[in-house]
Parts: sequence; C-alpha cells; structure tokens
Amino acid sequence: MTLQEWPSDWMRGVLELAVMRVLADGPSYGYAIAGRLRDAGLGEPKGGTLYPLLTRLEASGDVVPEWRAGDGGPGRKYFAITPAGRERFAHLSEQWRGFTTVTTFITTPSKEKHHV
Amino acid sequence: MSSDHPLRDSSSCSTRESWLRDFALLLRTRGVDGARIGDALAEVESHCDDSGQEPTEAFGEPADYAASLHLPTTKPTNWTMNVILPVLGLVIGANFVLGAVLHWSSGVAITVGVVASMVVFVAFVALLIGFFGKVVTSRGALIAWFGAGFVLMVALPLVLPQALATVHPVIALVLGLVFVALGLMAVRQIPADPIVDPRG
Repeated sequence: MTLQEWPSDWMRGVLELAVMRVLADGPSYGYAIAGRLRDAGLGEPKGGTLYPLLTRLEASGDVVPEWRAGDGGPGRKYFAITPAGRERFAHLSEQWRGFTTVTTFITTPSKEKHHV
Repeated sequence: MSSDHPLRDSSSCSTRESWLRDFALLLRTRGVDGARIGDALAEVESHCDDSGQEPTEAFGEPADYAASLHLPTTKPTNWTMNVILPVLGLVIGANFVLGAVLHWSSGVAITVGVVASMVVFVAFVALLIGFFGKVVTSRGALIAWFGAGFVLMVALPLVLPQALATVHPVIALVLGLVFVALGLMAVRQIPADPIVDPRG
C-alpha cells in the first residue's frame, strides 16, 4: 500500500496526527516513522513531506530532536514528543475520532444506517 | 531498514553531492544559519543512507525542499558592510595595482568603462541581495547571474575606453594597495558562520 492510494488531501490532514501517534510510543527517526506509517497501511510519506512536518512540530515545541550515533551506520535524528505535544496529540486524536464518526455517518447510505 | 548500499556507484554519489551542494547554497542564500543548514543536510543524508534513495527521489528538487522547510532566517544585518564594500575594495584595488604595473610609463587612465563596470558590479550584487530568493533558484541561476555580471564588467572597459582622468602610476599603486588592504581587513570582519555537521 502506498501513500498515493489515499487522496492526498486526506493525507495532508491526517499525517501530523499519525506522526505524533508514532512518536507517542517513544522517540523515533524519520525513516523509521515512515516505515511505521507504511506498515500501518497509511502509505510511506516521502522525505520531502515528512521532514518539513517534523520541522514544524519541532518549531511548535511538540517534539524535541536529538542526534544519536548509529550502530556502525550514519547518525540519526531522533524526535521525542514533549508533554505539550502529547497533550495536543490527545486533544487532536479525540477531535479526529469525532470527525470520523460524523463523516462515516454522513457518507453511509441511508439503507445501511437502518441496519446499524 | 538498510544502512549501507554497496552498489551505489560514483555517479549517484556525485548526484547526491550535487543535490546537497545546491540545497546548502539555497538555504544559505535564504539567510539560514550554518548550524541549521548542517542539520538539514545531515537529515537528508541520514534518510538517504537508510532508504537507499537519492535525494531527488526522496525530497524532490532542492529549491522546493529548501522552501518547504520554512527554517528561521538570520540575514546578515548589514550586507553593504559585509559584502559589497569589501569586494568593491578588492576589485578597485586590484584594478589600480594592475593598471599601475601595466602602464607604469604612461600613467593609469580611469576610463568611463572602468567606472561603469564598478557601477554594474555594485548593481548586480545589490540586486542579488534584494531579490536573492527569486534570482537564486538553483546553482545554475547563480552562475548565470554572476556570469552575466562578469561579462559586463569585462566588456564595459573595452567598449568605453574614454579617459576621465589619468593617475600617476605610483599614486595608482599606493591607492591600489590601500584599497586591497582595506578590502582584506573588511573581509576578515565578516562573521564566520560555518556549516556544522551535528553528527560530529
């Protein structure tokens, strides 16, 4: 499954939340975050999409970066979610759940609604 | 996730280096400081090492990616003092010294073309500083910009040889050395802002 399988407008709206969700599990670096999103079925965002988003999250204080030496490989920039970021993520994810409930209701054909 | 790609050939290495050079130049001309440029370069390199992708594949064109990052800018507070005056001093000084050496017996003629080429130089640098975001969209654009300026600066003294004044070669030599010395001193005053790799 690739990123292009979902409408790009939807991806733009949800990518920040999805990245924060990955970071809520612990610090991670760009390529690993992209891999987690790919494995979850959201598609793998390009570096040109992912890093500007991480830079924005860094600038807003939602994540903090730290360069760590790799195991025999290149150093990697890890991002850790901050308490403020975690709080914002909780708020946004609650909103997102409400949003998807509403959009699911709206987009479900009337016939199916009676069976729910 | 792979970390090394033994099949990466020298051409892809040079493609990556070229992309990184352009990207660094574009960030520099946008006024991003050296530490942030180093950080952004290391991010790209690290991602490409992990994914095995080339920068163009993963990040697109350097100009688009540089613009999308919205990194804070810290433009030099005084471009006139930091760039134009030092280089102008060196150019005028070199002109005088060269003129004195080449025309030791006849004196150094200050021509309409020489004055015009100095004006062109200042205009090109000033326009570049004022509109660098529009002018410098790639390394090629920067080379073309300076290339056009250089051709004009060389051509004007040749097509406008009318003398405005003639200076004694000794005076020209002394003036030239003073200008060169002032230019060098001004260059040394430019604050260093090296690109630092955060990975050490």
